[in-house]
Amino acid sequence: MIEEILLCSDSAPSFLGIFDFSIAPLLLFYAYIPILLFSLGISIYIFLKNRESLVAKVLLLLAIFFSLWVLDTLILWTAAPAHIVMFWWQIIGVFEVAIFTLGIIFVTIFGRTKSLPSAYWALVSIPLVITCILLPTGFNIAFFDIDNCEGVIGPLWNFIYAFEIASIVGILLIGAWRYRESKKTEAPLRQLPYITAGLCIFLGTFAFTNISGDFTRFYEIDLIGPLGMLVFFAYLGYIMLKFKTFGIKLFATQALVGIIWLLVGALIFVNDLQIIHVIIGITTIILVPFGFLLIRSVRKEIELRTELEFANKRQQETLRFITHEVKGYLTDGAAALDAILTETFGPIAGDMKTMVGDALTKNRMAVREIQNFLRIADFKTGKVSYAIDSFDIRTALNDMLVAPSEQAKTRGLDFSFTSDEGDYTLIGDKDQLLNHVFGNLVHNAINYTPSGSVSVHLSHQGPMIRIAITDSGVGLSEDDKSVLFTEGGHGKESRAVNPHSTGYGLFIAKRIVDAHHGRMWAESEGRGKGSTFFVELPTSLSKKDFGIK
Amino acid sequence: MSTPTKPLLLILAIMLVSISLVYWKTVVTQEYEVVSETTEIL
Repeated sequence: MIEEILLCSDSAPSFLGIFDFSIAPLLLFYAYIPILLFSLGISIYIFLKNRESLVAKVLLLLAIFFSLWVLDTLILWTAAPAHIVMFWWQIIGVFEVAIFTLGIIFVTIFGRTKSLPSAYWALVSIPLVITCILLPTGFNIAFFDIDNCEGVIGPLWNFIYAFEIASIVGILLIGAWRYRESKKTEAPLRQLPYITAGLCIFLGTFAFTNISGDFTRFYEIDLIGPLGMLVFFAYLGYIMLKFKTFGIKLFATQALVGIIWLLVGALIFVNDLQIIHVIIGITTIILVPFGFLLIRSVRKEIELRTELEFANKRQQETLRFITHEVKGYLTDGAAALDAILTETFGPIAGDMKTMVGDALTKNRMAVREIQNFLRIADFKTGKVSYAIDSFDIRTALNDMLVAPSEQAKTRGLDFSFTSDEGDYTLIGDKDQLLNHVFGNLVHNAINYTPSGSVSVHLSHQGPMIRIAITDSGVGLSEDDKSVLFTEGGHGKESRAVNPHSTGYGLFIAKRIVDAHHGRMWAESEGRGKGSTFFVELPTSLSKKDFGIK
Repeated sequence: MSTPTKPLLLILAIMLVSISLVYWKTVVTQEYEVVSETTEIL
């Protein structure tokens, strides 16, 4: 036996045997769907960015219940079978109460650091629990009016509407009280007035349209309701921009553009001229404040960037001037110490010789660091120039490594320089490569190897010359490798071994290798397992590759 | 601020039970009163 389904009198289900889209007002989908997508999208994004935040969770729940309410309303407008319409009529109350309850919770917990007592959660849940208990009873929907295809509301709805009005008053009072209290502290909640205003406009519009719709039975007024949600999320977007709440700035701008796309794109689906006029009117109302905020934000960004660039340039110039002056004094000092050490002005005692030798070493270290600072400043301002010429890297390294190999031997390390057969002619800046790249790498290898060996090996790798500097020293972790070639980047062990390390040496070396169209990297099996630094330089370069004709 | 997970889950559970009851009464057994001006109570 086939049971006959009772249908609402004015409808003929043409979609899935349930829905009749022709009975819905034309503005229905335009009023609801973009707002639904927008509020769900923004709250999911905020939640994903702030998973641990209770505020973000409550906001997401608010958007979910609002979406359920919108879905419920869409079904009420378009479904034809009486039992389906009746079911959705009966459960819509619980969504409404959940939305208002979450509104109260949102304004209570926003910016709060301490947990709320259990009594608060119990108290705030009472209306929701009452609604849930009465939901399946006749107190909720008394009966179904088949002629008008709607549920006829029972006494529970007086309670729901009273709760909705009380919630708005409550939110206003809680918001105002919390803001006043927070002003007495060191961290006033300056976002709270915006949150409170946004919530009150949203819930106020929502409650007003629901209540007046039910009393007048002119349900088209419900179409205005969701626009309040848009206002709420517009306020949220604004506080994100103004106060950087939720740590999202770019997203607010993207959301503004997204909603413009949605609103304008929705026009494609409407072919009634009058409806188009209404849609354009609504879109313009939304676009004006959003557009204003967007333009103001972009203008502020540009102003800040210009100020920052100017301040940065001034700082670079001042730094360069100071370091240049200091370098001059130190160089003069070094010359004097060198003259004393070489006994230019007569013989000096043994102890004094050691002391002057130490002073000279430290003086030279200071000069080197200052040179690094100046070099970095030059890189940033693009003032670095290269003296490009052809040279044999094997011969050059052989000469350069004399002093480091002596230094390694005095520290008890085995030092070796080996190379494969072949031609090692390169085009590049010999001085910069030897002193700031290979000198630096060998110097580091010796300094960071307490015992064991340091070796330098030269080989051909296709069209490249590879220089590998291997040590049995402190080694590198994966974290170390990721920061090694950055400005001021250090390996974790490096400070313990060499407290004077500034972390600029490898940064400069990498910039020089890059300028030579080469590459540079480090390999290590981990801390305490030594490391190998590789530099590869192309043999096929010409002076043109350095911009020299 | 930690999330009060238990009370939240409890309320969601109450909601689900309540909605399920409505579903059972209205959609499954269709025990609801239908009124029409033309036919009085159906």
